[in-house]
Amino acid sequence: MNTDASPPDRFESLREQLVDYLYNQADVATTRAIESAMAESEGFSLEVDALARTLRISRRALAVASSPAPSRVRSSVLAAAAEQAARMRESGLEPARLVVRNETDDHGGSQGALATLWRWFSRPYTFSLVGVAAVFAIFVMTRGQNAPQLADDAMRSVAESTSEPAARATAAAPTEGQPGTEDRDQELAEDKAGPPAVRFQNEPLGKLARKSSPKRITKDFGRKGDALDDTFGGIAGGSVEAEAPAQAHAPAKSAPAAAPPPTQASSAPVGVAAEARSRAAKPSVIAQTNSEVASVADESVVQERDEKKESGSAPSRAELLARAKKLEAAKSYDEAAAVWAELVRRFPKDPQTAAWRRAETAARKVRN
Amino acid sequence: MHEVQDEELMARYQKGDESAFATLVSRHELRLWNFLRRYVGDPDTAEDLLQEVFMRVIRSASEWRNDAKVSTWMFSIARNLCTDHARRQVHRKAASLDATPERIGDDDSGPRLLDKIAGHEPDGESRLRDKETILRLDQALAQLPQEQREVFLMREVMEMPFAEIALAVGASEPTVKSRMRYALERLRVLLADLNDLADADVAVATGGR
Repeated sequence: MNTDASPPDRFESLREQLVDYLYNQADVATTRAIESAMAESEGFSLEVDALARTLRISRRALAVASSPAPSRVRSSVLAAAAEQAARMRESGLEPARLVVRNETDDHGGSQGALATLWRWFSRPYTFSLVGVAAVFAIFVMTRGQNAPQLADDAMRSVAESTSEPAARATAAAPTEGQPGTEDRDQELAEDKAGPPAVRFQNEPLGKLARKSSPKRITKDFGRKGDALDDTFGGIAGGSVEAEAPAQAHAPAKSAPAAAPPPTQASSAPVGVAAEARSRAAKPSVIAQTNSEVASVADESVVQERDEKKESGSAPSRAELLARAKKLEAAKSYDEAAAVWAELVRRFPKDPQTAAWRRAETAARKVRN
Repeated sequence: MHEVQDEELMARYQKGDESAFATLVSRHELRLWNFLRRYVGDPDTAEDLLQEVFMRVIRSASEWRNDAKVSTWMFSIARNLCTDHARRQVHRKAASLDATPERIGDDDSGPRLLDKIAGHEPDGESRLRDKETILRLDQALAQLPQEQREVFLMREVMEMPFAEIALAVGASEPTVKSRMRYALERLRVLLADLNDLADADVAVATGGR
């Protein structure tokens, strides 16, 4: 390019705008700047004129060179387009993929909707989607049906674990010195303290229980408390041990409070009871269920009934217990073992039978 | 009367309306053909490429979405095909328009490329002149760097706005305009002997396109 005297730096920014100027796309300010520069510099003016002239020449040449496309290309292309159009008609294009729609096209009304549905459901991935949706729906419905039961179970579990202190309080009410209470404590502690805690940890319902709102737990617990009061109304404030009629322990209560000095024989149950009491002080041991308390109550009723049956001909359970304790206190371990054995034999379903059996074994060991 | 947009025609073709595609072909084949013809120089290659452009559009029609202009899409396909062809030509020893001036001047025997280039005026002196013009044009275009040539042809043959050219070639609009200016400056030198064309009776003026 032989642009004579035009200083390159001066018009360089204007050259950047020359294309816009040649195509009439420059703004007014740029147009004025270029035209004033052309008026000011002959070299720049010649440069712009040469470019404009080149553009005219090239357009003229392109117009001369312009020729129609070969007809055989058109025919082959249209044949291929017809085949592809037939394929697209057969497969049916997904309507959602089209942004531009021909409003005058067919597929209107219910017939068109049915055709669209048929095309949609005739595709394999549609069935996959429907299958996944069905499984999910069944899962949600199943959860919905089980939810109340699960929630009730969870509430019961929480209420049971929460109501332990109350049950424990009623169980701990008898004085430690009371004969027989140690065994009862031991039994309750051994049989009932552990399982609820374990269940709470292992069962998935524990999660639900932990998620339960405190308000609902309290409400549920309130109901359980009422039920407890109803069930054990007569012994409210007393011990679960009181399910054995109060008079059953009357001789023991009236007996000297001074317990016999702990012997090897008698220390076993007492030690177990103490351990049970210490465990009862722990939250996990405290955990008792109302149902379990209720079952103890039921067993006590059965036991009471058995005692009444036995009362006509043989010493009652309470009398045997008192006798066994008395014999142990008197270090008559043979007789005590016999009485324990009698208790085991006559009251095999008694919750304390296991303790009596241990006492019997201990007495025999001492005797031997 | 309202002219149906390219995009609407393509949507119809997606539904199986083959006449819509025929309309698209007739609307764009001339510009595509001349772009390809001027870009690659060889009419046979240009014909193959033109067919390939439309075949690719046909094959991809079902996947087309209305987020780009159909014309820009077609021209981008054409430009990419030309780019691929130019890459292949680098390693191929073929009859080049660059070599024709010497050959034309030195050897009068046998067919000349000048004779192969189609013109549209069949008679006498004007026909010869047009052929000469076309030859000079093709020679000049062949000497342009590819990036300048494609911008020049997209703007002057396909009549694409600079913004669409920028999209097609993947460059900014100022860059495209800059390439256009360099192309014009180079063509001014290469087409200097055709200055009389500028004064010919052709309605070519700056601007307005």
